[in-house]
Amino acid sequence: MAKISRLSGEQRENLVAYLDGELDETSAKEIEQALASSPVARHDVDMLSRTWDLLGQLPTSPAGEEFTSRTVSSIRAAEKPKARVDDAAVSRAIRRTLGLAIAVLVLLGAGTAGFLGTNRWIPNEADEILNDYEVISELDKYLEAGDIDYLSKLQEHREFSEHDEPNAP
Amino acid sequence: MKPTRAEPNAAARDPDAKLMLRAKQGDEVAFTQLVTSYQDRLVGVLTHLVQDRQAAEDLAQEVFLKIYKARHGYEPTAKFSTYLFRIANNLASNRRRDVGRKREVTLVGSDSGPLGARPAEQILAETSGMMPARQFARIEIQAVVQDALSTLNENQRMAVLLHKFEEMSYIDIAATLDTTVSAVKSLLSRARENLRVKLEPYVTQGTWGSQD
Repeated sequence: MAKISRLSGEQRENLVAYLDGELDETSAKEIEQALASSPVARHDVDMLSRTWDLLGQLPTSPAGEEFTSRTVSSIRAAEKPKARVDDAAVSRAIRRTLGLAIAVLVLLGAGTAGFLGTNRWIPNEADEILNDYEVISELDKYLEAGDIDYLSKLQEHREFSEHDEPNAP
Repeated sequence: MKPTRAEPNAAARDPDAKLMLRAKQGDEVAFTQLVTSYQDRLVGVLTHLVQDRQAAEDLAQEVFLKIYKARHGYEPTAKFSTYLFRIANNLASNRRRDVGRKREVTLVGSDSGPLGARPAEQILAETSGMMPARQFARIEIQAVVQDALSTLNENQRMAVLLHKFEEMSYIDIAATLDTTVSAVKSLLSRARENLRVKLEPYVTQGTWGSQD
């Protein structure tokens, strides 16, 4: 009587494939011949088959009632934020660029106004001298006269006029 | 072995791949149809894979979200179910790695086993006094099978789940796990041999929970 030990390693591996109907015709016939001559091999095949059937006792685990809606919602949620992020990113970029441009314009305006303002409305030392040039240029005479009313009265008399002096008799 | 490559036209004929192509064109209803068609199957497989119902639902939701986000690049080169479970497998693998890293930090002082879950026998002992015998027997069978399943490595477990519950061929499993048909044959052979060793005592004796 043939024993299981007489099955080659390949034949033992083929036992399962034989049960699964995955062997070609030649290999299947070879296994059938080995099984016909070996009660141990037949016992093994029987046990392989019966223990395999036990897997059918495992509990089924269908998805929960909310699974479909949760999954579809999660897919939509995963897609939408991306779009929102893209739109928001574009909006943020536009706002940021506009803000930057406005800030630069304000700074330029402020700088220009400041420059013009300081040059036009805040008098410097030279401006004061230029404004008072007429007085300063005649300051020696004014100091000699001592009184502005006296000089005014002198100017009223023609005899003391500077323009008439060279022609005076 | 049977042919090791998927038929190229199979994807083009797949009605779910057609729905996905409609979703690619912006048809939200088509995508919702895909969600409703696959949600129970996906959550079921993931629950057995990660052994945590809530985590499985979260992962399933993540799978659909990932598929939706990648819809513009979708090309129907395989059946839609293969495409979906490949993404599910990748996300589940990432999660396992993350959980593994966290557990390295938090394991100290915990009574969890290396896989995180307590042994089925311990859970059964805690719950056995609270339910009728028949119900307990059924839960006991489920716990023992779940326990046997948890001893498989992640690729073996995924291959078993896809073959058992999705009735996927070796070719489709290979496409899902991004491996060869020959590798799938080895994976499933080892996985089923491991399950046989774990579960045979329960099958032959018919006395659930009598083994350690």
